[in-house]
Amino acid sequence: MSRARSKSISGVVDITKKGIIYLLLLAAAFFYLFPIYTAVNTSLKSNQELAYGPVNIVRNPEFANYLKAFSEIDKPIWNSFVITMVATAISSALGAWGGFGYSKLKFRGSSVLFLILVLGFYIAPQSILIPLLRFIGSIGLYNSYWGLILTHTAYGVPITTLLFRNYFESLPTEVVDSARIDGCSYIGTFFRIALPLSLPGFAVVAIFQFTNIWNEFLFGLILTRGADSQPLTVAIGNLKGTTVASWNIQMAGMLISVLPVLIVYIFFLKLIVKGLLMGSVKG
Amino acid sequence: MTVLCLLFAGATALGSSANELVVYHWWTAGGEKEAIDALFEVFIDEHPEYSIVQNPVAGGGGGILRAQIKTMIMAGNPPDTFQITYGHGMISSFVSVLQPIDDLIKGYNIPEDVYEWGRVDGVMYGVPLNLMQNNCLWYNVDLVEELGIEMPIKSLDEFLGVCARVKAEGYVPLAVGAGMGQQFWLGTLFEAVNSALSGGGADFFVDYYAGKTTPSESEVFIETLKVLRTLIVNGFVNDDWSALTWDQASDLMATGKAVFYVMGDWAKGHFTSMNMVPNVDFGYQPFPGTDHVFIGHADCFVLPIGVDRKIAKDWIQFLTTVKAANTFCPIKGAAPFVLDAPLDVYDDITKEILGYFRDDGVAKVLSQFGAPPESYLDVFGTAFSEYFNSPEINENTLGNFDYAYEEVFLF
Amino acid sequence: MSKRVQILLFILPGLILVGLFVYGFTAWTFQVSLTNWRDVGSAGDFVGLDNYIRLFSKDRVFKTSLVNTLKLTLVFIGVTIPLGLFLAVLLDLNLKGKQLFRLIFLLPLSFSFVASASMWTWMFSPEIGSVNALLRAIGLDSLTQPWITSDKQALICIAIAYVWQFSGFSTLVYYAGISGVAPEITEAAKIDGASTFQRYMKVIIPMQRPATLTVLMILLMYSLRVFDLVWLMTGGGPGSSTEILSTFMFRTAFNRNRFGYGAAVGVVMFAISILIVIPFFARLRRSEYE
Repeated sequence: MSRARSKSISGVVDITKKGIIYLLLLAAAFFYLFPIYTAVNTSLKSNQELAYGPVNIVRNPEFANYLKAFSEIDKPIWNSFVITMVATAISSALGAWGGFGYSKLKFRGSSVLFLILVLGFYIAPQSILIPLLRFIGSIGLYNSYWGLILTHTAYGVPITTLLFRNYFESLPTEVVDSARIDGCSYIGTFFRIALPLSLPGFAVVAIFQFTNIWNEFLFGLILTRGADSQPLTVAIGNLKGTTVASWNIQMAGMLISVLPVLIVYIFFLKLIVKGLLMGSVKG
Repeated sequence: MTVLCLLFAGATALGSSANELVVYHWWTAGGEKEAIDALFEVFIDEHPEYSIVQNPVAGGGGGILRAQIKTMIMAGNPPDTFQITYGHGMISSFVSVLQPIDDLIKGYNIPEDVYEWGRVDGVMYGVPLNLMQNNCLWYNVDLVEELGIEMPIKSLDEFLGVCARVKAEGYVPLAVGAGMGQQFWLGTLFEAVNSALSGGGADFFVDYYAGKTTPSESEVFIETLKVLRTLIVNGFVNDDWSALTWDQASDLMATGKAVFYVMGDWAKGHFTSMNMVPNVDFGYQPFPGTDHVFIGHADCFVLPIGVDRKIAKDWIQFLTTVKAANTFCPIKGAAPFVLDAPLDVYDDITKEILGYFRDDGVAKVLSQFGAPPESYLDVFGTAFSEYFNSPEINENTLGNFDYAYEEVFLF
Repeated sequence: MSKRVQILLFILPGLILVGLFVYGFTAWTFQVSLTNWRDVGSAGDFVGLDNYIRLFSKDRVFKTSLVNTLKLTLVFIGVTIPLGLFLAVLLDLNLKGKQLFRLIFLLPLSFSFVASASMWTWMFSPEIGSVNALLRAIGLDSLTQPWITSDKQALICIAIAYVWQFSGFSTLVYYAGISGVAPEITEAAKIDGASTFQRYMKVIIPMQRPATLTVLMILLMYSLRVFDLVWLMTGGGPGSSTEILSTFMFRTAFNRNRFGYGAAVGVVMFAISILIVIPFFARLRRSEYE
């Protein structure tokens, strides 16, 4: 009898505990989702509905807002795609190449050189803004895709190399050694053994870089002029700066810019998690 | 897919052909945009083989455009021409990358003092296009009639009294918009108020913008601060001034929430683009107590070093014609410099402004947009904004202004 | 092909790129900081350490920007680390829907700072923003604030936006750390009679020191270099209430035309990032040898 009662009492306490935890989780979820809700809400409002306040849910969604926003940013969207894809591909490839070298080739000074390379990740972009601008200009790549691709590649190599080195560390050395014994050069081993095995690593690194480069603003601002070559982030920034700030169009444009990475996050969450962790837990 | 992207990435370099004029300006909306578009059309009419590549860059008062121009110049990629505000201070901030244009604009029929406004070391680098007055007071005609205010207001004291009455009736007396990136509009208000004080206006600004006046040692400067303090402390200014852009503040007056508005005469273009009629919906007078001072400036186009194409030179010369002036200025709401421009295309308020300008008894002063070095706008904009947030006149505040002065003129 | 040549082939591309783009450019910036280069076009003369002397002795706005950066960093880190830990614990409790909650908490990380800035600037706008609108909608009108238009609150607004954007990272690292705790340890605690609460407080959380270190370093690094968010939300204003190091540097160079002086600020930022990173790296190498 008492056992049943204590069980039911503890059952009640359990439910209350669970309830509180859910409440907390929901409160956190609210904090994170409320801004997105109001942004989506506003982006669908016509100019008249805008006047009724941002919290009230839209009554007659105006999808035309998205078309209008899209027409303002159509070239920058394409620019961002090209720049991001190419820079991601190149910086990931270089990262795999270098990461393999630091991981599987033992040589004197390897950890020092590696440190020097990785330190590049920590540099604040403001510190090198002006020389970067002058250099890119002097080689004729100002306001071009390749100017930004080169820049993003150079500043992406430290982190991609780090990620790949960590990844290759987990590849057993026996695999490499047996290839060497068979007479394969390191380079050959890289292409024949390591590369095929590194596809999961590539996925993680590529997603990581894609996010970073797609969302980058300062380099895009400095190294381009006008919609011809400017990336989407800069276009969104300009949209915000226009004096006729119709918030519905702005929010629509902003959400368009967020969409690619958002989709990647939703579908590849596990890989994202892996990437963020691989980069942060060093050694 | 990646291969495709690589191929596309190759098609990047932008070369402008000899018949394309790459122009940068900041007239991105409203009457200003219409005006520059019309001007481009007339230029193409006269030179059908040319075409224009416009690059309007938004951002209050041109600050963002100028930053953009600097990055382009640093990258070795200047445009064919760009717009900046006209004045020896502003131009001197760019002079090392500009070509002299004295030969190109020979015969430009404008008053000699206007030439003087823009000469740096005796040389002209920019061709001024449109005359603008800064110390203007705009008012909502309906509200003024409703509240029984007699216009024009004759003195600063009278103005402050009127503000008190307006506030008592529940309206915002003076609309101010000096939000993000636009804090320098407080400098325009400063100019207007200062000119209404004795010892202010022309007597003050010529030296002040030349860097000869230490703020804390200038009685007039401190007097002006006191008046500004009165405006803020008594609630004569809208609470959200630091959140509004200048056109949002204009709208406060246009929609009848505020009665008065201090802004240069480009506000007129803004009002007319909202279909308001001069002297019917909105009115103008020089800021109370300043009808003996004309604080003005202009927009101009320049010729960067490294640009020697005929099309750019043709553009500069085109701007000296009466046709250019009378195409651009009326739509924009400004007045022409050219002395022989027929005035029938201008509205009454513009004619009134031009009348002040041509009156020999009115002292003409170049405003903050042209006279001091470019950094004045940003540095003092911040300083004024801080003062507006806590309008106390003490050692700290005056120290801030002295520091701002040192940073702009002495460093 | 000899091993030597192969080593060089593997490491040279990355080192050349970084050598130029990181170290070369930093050296150039340092050299420029020793000149009084102002106004685009002219080169400026050598003035030695004058710019630095002025920065640290006379410049008021630099001091303000340092203080603001510090304030922002403290609030940002002070909130994000406990918040991340707290949420990670909640997630670890393995309630139903945990996957969904995890996704929600990480969503803001996918946003660019530009997007966040657009969104939060509008949200914090006193008249039409959704924060005040929400307060009004639930009857808390009296709590509405000037938010981003006030020189006293603007920095807090930025901090809130920043926390929103980045706390997911902290949550994630702690979540990984907590899931990585060997089940034997938690089992042992359970056998010893510890309640869930005690298990977390006394065993699991104290084991998160490495995770805290990681989060701390990454957050510090981002705090120092944050630019996009602040520049697009307030531009450093109202007044200089949200001026931070990065916006100060940008403004000094591009709005005030003091390129040499701005370069000095850039070098200071570089020095600070080195100061933050080196201790962490030293710690890491030490633990590698343990």
